[in-house]
Amino acid sequence: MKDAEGFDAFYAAGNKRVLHQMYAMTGNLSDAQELTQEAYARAWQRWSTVETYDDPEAWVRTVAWRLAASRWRKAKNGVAAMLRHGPPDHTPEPSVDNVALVAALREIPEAQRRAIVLHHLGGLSVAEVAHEVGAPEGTVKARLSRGRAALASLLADSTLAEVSPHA
Amino acid sequence: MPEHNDPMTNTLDTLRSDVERIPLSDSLTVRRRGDRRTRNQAVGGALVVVALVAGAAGIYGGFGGDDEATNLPASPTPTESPLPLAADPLLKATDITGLGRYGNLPMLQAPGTPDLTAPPHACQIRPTKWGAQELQATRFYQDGSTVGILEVVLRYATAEQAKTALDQPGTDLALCPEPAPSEGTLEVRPPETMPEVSDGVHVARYFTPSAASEPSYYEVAAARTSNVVVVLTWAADDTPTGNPDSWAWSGDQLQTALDRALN
Repeated sequence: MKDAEGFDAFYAAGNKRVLHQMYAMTGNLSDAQELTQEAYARAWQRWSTVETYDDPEAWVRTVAWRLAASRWRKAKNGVAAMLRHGPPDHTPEPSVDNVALVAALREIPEAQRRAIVLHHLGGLSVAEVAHEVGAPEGTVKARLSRGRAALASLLADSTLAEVSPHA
Repeated sequence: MPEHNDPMTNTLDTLRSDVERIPLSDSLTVRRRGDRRTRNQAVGGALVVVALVAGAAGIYGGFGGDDEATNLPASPTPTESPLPLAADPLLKATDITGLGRYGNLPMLQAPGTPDLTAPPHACQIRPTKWGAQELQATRFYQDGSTVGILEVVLRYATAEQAKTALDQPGTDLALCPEPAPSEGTLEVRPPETMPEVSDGVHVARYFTPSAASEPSYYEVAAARTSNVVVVLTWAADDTPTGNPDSWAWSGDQLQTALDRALN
């Protein structure tokens, strides 16, 4: 018997956080909403196992990221359909204040974006990011450095490039 | 909320205003969605058995879907399992840096897919013969300079095959035909590893014409992550620094190419 109360508390505590991170990763509010809910639904499917993990939210986040990556690959085929039919209706747009930031995030490579989101928004240390993405710490540091420099350039905000990663 | 506070965190935090506008289902709805997936997977699994018996594989595609996303170990660790390419795996013109004395002109991306067929006697790489399962490529150039850049992203079935592909730039350039003495001299710099990037290698050749025409420098750099290899070539009248002992491509640039190539 799965612990519904435990899952409900886990969901309530972290869903907005995961949504926020997925929005930064995908730059699309509808996608972020769908990916977050799908990842939590999958967590519920195997909750008796997931709840035993040290960090169940990392599991949800990784599932959401993999779903997003899978959809991007499939989207190659969807581009032609969208050109034929136009974008889907009722896609929420970023607020005016965030248009430039969302566009800049979309410009940098996915691996750099993921490292930046996990480190600066998720609050993970470099070692934790390396563990979650399955890359050496040096690679993560390089991705953070290059990603920050690219965002600083795209947003014309040099302060973004000056941050040192925390341990 | 992250405990640390820095300009990047503050900038990303501004997205919260958009996130607050988006409703999420309540937990009961999410649990029902999970239960529905479980039931559908059970039906899909039964249909797979039927499909296999009938020799009609492929029915399952509409039921399972994306379950590789869920099959995570408790602690993800680095892996050599085959990786797919990113949806848009090629560099953008703005990704190319370290252009040295060529940096004062904008880098432009050529439209369309480049023709990778090298003339028989050309001293160039031939990536279409490197045995990749999938190959994507793009070219960059500058209006007003001799710089031409080719990026090739190759996906192999296995990491082992990709590893052998790193020998190909050196193999291809070693086969460069010797120019006639009246044409000039060709010097091939043997392959060197690039310690700053995993499994990185570069190789180059200089052609110095005997007539009063421009010399040429051609460099190939390649790096690998698992089963994916990225290759960058540089063709110009010289290296970016003008120093014949320097290289055009850095490990940093290759890492950016790998980051683009992979999710």
